[in-house]
Amino acid sequence: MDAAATDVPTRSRPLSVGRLSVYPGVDAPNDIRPWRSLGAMGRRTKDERKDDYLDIGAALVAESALAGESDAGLALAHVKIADVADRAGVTKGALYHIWDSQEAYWRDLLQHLMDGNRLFGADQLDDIGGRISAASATRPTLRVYANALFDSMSQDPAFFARISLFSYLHDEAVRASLDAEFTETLDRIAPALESALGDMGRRMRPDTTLMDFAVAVAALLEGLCLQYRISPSRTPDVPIRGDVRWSLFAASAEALLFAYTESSVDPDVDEPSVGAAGEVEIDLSAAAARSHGLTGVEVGD
Amino acid sequence: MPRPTAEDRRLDYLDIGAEIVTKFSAADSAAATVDALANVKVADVADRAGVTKGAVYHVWPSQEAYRKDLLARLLEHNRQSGVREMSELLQDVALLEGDPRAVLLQHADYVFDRLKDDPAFFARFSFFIYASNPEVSELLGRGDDAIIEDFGPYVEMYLHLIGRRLREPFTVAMLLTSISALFMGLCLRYRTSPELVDPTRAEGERICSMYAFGLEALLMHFSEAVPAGA
Repeated sequence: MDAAATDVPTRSRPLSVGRLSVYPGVDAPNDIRPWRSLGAMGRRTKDERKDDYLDIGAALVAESALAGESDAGLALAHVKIADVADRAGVTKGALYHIWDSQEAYWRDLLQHLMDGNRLFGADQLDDIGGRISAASATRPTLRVYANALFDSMSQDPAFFARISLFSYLHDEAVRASLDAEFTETLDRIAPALESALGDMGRRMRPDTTLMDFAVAVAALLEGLCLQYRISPSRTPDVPIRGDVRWSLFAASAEALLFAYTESSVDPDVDEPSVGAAGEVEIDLSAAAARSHGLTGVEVGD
Repeated sequence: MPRPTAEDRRLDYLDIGAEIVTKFSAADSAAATVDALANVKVADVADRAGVTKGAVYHVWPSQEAYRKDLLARLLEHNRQSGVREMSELLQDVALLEGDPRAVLLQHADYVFDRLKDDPAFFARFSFFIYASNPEVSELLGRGDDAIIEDFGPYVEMYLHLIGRRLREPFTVAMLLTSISALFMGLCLRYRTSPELVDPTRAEGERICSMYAFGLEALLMHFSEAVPAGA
């Protein structure tokens, strides 16, 4: 218990450094001590005790995650046996005949989700590429792809379900499965991405790799989808040019593009024009198809 | 049609569960927040604190009320890290007189290293599935608003130090939202595939992490050099 206690987050004190007010508008209490150092709770005010109890709760959450308890993150907590029975049109008893507890059902459900690859939409990118190509008369641009990717993922409940499963990552099978799914997706899009860079007249900078670039863009996409999930107003479009839509993801992805790649024509251009790279026509879907070994696909110049 | 076997029924019930997971919407489930922290029991908290359950219930009327406050506490966690470190860095006048870029990258590395493995920070990701519940999204948003509020002045200070300014039509909020998104995305990725996020870029003498690299990329793209005489 002592060893665990040393890892418990302590109540941090709002800081005021020089004239910099770090917590604007928040007055620092004079003495906030970590809860574990308290001998008697008697002298604590109600507010202080409240803080203590919340710190303990945060520590319990952290500890149960570290201990790998099966219900640590409770991503599946909303899947109640009663609801499942209800939908199945059977009694709860019918399910309890199979699983002896709610927890046992969750454990099996998690395994089921991993087995069926149900949440991990590796085909999503291809679908988007195909749909855009089908819907558009001209070849789409990076900006159009980026907008569509963001719109599709930020609306997809399966994406958020997948994120919530991250709370089971202490289970090595879950981690390995998510890792494999992501790596496989990267391998599939890498050739398409490379050909798109060629279309845009760009190449990786000497210190960077295509894989790093893809990892960073994917992280940005997932993070912005989470922001959108909190509230769509958090990820406004950027009015870079009046007549076309730049999602915040497209604009930010262009930032990464310029950092990870350089012009293969003139590598010395150090301040590329914002919005320029996004308007070059590319064909991710055809290149993706080619990377799958399909033939007869027109890839373009 | 043959009668379903026990195994068929088992799979049916699991399929229904999988559907609830993927189609779940917490919008009308007031209990959602509480579900996510169902493993934190007031009895355990009291036990840990060495008090009676009654003492805790003296502060909160119910276990649910406790869990709601706990959620808010968990979501504040990332605000407390980072800001503190930033102010400590800025206190170091020697650093400020040196290379502001080195300070920026150092801070970025510090915050990422500190939070990428932190279970309390990570707990926030369990709540996104409940984000269609207005109460949860409000809490999640509050934490990120705080980031914008806390770091906005530093962004402007930094740009000023390196002779740049925000580029129209970008805003500080857009920049910090993107930086924060990159941070969270890389934290998630680090948890599944650490080796993909860890590669360090040799850059002259110093090494800079993927997060620091991306942060600087966004900062530069969303800003422009202040023209001479402006």
